[in-house]
This record gives sequence, C-alpha cells and structure tokens, in this order.
Amino acid sequence: MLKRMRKGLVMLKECIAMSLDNIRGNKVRSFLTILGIMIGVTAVIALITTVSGFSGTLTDSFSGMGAGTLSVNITGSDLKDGLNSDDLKKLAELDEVEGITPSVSLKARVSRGGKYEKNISVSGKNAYYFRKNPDTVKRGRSLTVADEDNRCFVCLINNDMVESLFYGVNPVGENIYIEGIPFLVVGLLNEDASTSVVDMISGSPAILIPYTTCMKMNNVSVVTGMTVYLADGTDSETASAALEETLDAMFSFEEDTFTVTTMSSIEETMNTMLGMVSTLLAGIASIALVVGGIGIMNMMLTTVTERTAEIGLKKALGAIPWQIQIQFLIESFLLSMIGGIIGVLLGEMLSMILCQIMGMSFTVNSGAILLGVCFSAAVGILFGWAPARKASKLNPIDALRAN
Amino acid sequence: MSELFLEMTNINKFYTMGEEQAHILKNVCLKVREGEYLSILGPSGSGKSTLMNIIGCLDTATNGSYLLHGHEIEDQSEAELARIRSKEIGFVFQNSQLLPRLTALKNVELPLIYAGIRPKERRERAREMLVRVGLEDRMEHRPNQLSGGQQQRVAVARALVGNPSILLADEPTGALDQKTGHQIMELFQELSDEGKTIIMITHDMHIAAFAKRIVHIIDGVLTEGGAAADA
Repeated sequence: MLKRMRKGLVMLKECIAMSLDNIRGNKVRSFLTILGIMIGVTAVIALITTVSGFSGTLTDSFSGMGAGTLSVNITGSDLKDGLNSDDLKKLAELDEVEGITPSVSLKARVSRGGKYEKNISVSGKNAYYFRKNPDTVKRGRSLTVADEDNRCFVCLINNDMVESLFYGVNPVGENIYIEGIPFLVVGLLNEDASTSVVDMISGSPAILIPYTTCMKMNNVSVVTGMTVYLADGTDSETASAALEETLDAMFSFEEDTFTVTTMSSIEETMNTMLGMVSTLLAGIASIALVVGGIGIMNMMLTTVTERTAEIGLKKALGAIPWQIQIQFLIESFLLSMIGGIIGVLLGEMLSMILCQIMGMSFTVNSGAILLGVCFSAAVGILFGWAPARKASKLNPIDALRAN
Repeated sequence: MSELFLEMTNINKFYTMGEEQAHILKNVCLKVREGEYLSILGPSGSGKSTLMNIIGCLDTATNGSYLLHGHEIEDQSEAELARIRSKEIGFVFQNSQLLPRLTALKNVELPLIYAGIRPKERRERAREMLVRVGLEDRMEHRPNQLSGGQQQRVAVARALVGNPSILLADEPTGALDQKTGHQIMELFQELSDEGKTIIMITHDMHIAAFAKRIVHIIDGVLTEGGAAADA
C-alpha cells in the first residue's frame, strides 16, 4: 500500500515536470489557450471585489446616517389620510422617541428680480431637524419653533440658488419669491452636509422652509412622512414596536395604513439587491470561463493528436493507461490553473484601480480568489478529461505506427 | 540446456478489414530458451510485425497459447499487459523513437518512471546503461544532437535499463547505414554474450545472420530455418 503510494507520488512529480515542459515548449499556443480562462477569472474577481467594495461603502454611509432613526410613511385610511400636529406631538412624547422631523416637500418656481428657476425642490423642516443636524447651516440662522408655529415665510437656500439668483449680493436678509410668495432668506445651506438616505437618493433640496408653511402651500393639513429620532439607549426594534402600537390606535386599528421602516431593513434590502446583481454579473462573466475551458479542451485534443507517437512509445515502454491519462489531465489542470492565477492577480489589480477611481475602499476578497482558483481548477479537470481519456485509450500499435 | 521461457503454441491472428477477414498468423509455434539470440526473418507483409507485437504484449493473439516467463498471455487488461511489458520486454524500434525534447539520459530514464523507480536510482541506472552502450560523453545531448547510430544506442540503453528478460528489436538497423548497422550488431553480440535473450525481427538476411538462430516467416507461416547459411 505504502509502496504504491510512493510510486504514485514519484509518477505525479514526473507528470508535473513533463507537463510544465510541454507547456513551456509551446509558449505562444499555451498563452493563447489560457487567455480565455484568464479573462474569465479576471472578470469574475473584478466584479465581485468591486461590488463588495461598493456595498461596503454603502453600508458605511448608511450606518453613519441612519443610526438611531426610523422612517414612518403614512398611506392613511378613508377617514384619516395623515397625521395632524396633535398626533405628531403625541408621537414625539413617546418614551422611545426623542424627536420627529416631518417630511413635506414641493416643487416650485423660484424667482428674484428678473431671474427665475423652475422645478426647484423645496423641503419643509422643523426646528428639531436643525437641532439634530447643526451642520446644515453655513451662514445665517436656522429655522426656529417660532417660524414653525407662525408659518413664517422664511427660508434657507443652497449655493446653486445663491449663484443663480444673487450674483454679487449677500443673500441673507433679501427676499426671494417661491410660487410668487415672498420669502425672507435667513440662512445659507451647507452643501456637504448630506443628512438623510432620502436626500442621498433623490438629491438634496435646494431650499428649506418651515414644514408648516410648506403644508399650507401644498394645501394639506396632515403629514404623511417623517423621520423619527430615537431616544438614547433605545434599539430600533423596541421603538418601532411602540410607534406601531400608537399609530395603530390613531388609525383605529385599520390595516395597511402606515409603514415603519428601520435603517437596518433598508440596508438589508440594498444588500440583497447588490448581492443579486453581483451574482448575476459573475454568472455572465463565468460564461467566459466556460469558453476558456472549451479552448483548453481544443488545445488538449490537438496535443493528443500531435503526440500520438509519443503516447504509443510510452505505452510500449510500460506506461499503463491511467498514467497516460493522469499526465494529460495534469497538463490541462496546470494550464487552467496558470490562467486562473494570472486572472486572480489581474482581477485584483483591476478592482483596485476601479475602487480607486470610484473612491471606494478596496479590500482583497479572499472568497472571490478562492472561487476563481477553484473554478479554473474545475474547468481544467472537466475539459481536460475527454482529451486525457482519448490519449489513454490509444492503441499502442496504431500510435507507434503514427510516426 | 537453459530454461525454456517463451513458448507459443498454435498462435492464430485474424484481422477483419471491412468484409474480409485476413489470416495474418497461421498456427505459429515458437520456443525460445533463456539466453538465446534469435532472428525472425521475413519479407514485408509476412506478418512479422504482428508476431512481434504479440511477443511484445502490445497485442494479443486471436487464439492459441502464449507463455512468457511464466505469464500466461491471454486477454489481460491493457493495464496488466503494460505491467508485463514494463517488467519483461525491452523494445528497440526501427527509428529509435526517442522523445525529441528530452536529453539522452532522460530518454533512458523514461521506462523507470513508469515503473515507479525513485529519481536518484533512476538516474544512476540510466547513466550506467549509457556507459554500457558507449555514450558516457553524450548523456546531456538531445536526440537531434546525436548521430543515427548514437540515437539507436540510446534506444538500446532505454530498452535495457528496466532489466527486462527479453530484448525485442524491430529492424534495429533499418534506418542506419551499413557500417553503423554493423556496430549496433556488434553491440547486440556483446549483449548476447553476456546472456541477454534477444529476438530481432528483420527482412534483411545479412542482419539476420548475426543471430545464432533464424526462423523464417512467410505469409504468416513460421518455419525453423536452422543455421544462418541456409537462409
């Protein structure tokens, strides 16, 4: 038993040496053959690494923004189509809740003097929002409770608005017209302070006004969306349960009147989607691997035909069919592995460059490397099998006569 | 008298070619003793190559019995035949059949690789064999750097390195000029003197005459030829 194993090992070593020799003997052809595998593995690795880098970046920004908040959306019932200010107050007084910022918005025509801009996104905020996000204001003041209660016509505007409406004038203290109504500019918005997931997806609003004023302009008396800030030490599960209980009571326990979404559930959905996309892309890329495998099979079949005489000779010298088969199998395995390893290196390099360009953090994805290596090994064995079998089945007499 | 170690009794070989059945070997009987130097002489198409393939266990007879060094050669699997070849037979072919990418030394090592011999022992034995055939200064040369005669010497070394019980040569001088051919024959003579069993297949009676015993094969029928002079 031990002796057979040792013999097998000696054979294996010799087969590897002979295979490498053959690969080296046909450099150009070998290179062209492994090109397919190389490209396939490069594509798979680059895709997986880049997508996972992207999702990592996304997760980071999510957890930065969404920590300690919930978002509530109201679809409403026939009797009650949203939350009024009493309801909001009630929600804000829950033990689990620190505060609430309602989400109200509109698209408006904004003008000053002879200049105007159409379709500008205006968002209604409350004073609490500015307390939670002090970075929002670059210059001037924020919106106050007094603005909110009195539905004041005051606003904060972003840099784009300043540039298009106020050339060379200090905007703070000036008036602008939103849908023809004069608003006093009390402050300027900080561009960099991206504050919510919604803003990140739909673009930051250009103008902030008190939410009460915004509701009046929209001609509505109820709020249908809000962000809820959780009290310190409250986890989102408990808070969302408490909110749901209160909201259920407000909507007389009718079904499908509201949804409470935690940031982690948004994150989960995002990650699932990204995962699906990356699986799909990797699937498409692995077609290249199959094509590469066919290339290897083609080369191995050619090699077997070319080396018919050599195979016959080796058989005459006492090589058993298994030894011939293993030698060709090792050759295709090595070819494929060389392609795979080069592919892994190229793929990592490519994704490093891609991550750099897209400003994402690059991490070596060991799972992707393992996948690439295993896949190319499998391709080598799978597509090398038939040619190796063909070689081992050659009749030594016919094979010798081929010379 | 030395031991009888190869015995063929009523060997027949048929090949089916399309609709026709060709009777290549007809009731061939052959006995070879250990240490004999035998040549099988016959024109092309006489069935001598088929006979060599059967003696060399590359092929099996359609019927009849063949006993080689205690092995009953019948319908063994290809792997078993390969093991018998590896142990018992050393082949020398007409055009030496060396692998062009390997050095002389590596070519000689080849049969030992398949026998599973360790690299160090392999190299030693291959070196010894090359010295034996007079190529001690050509070990690292590739076949294309060797003359035809030298190539055939490498082939002889390769045939002998596994220490087979029989040296089986198919037209060993066929690709060589007369002078080099005779040198190879001298080598065979020496090997025979050392006690090696040699079977040589040829169509050239001058070459056949180097052997101590000649059998003729014509149209698949084997006849004992007696002394070389009778041929």
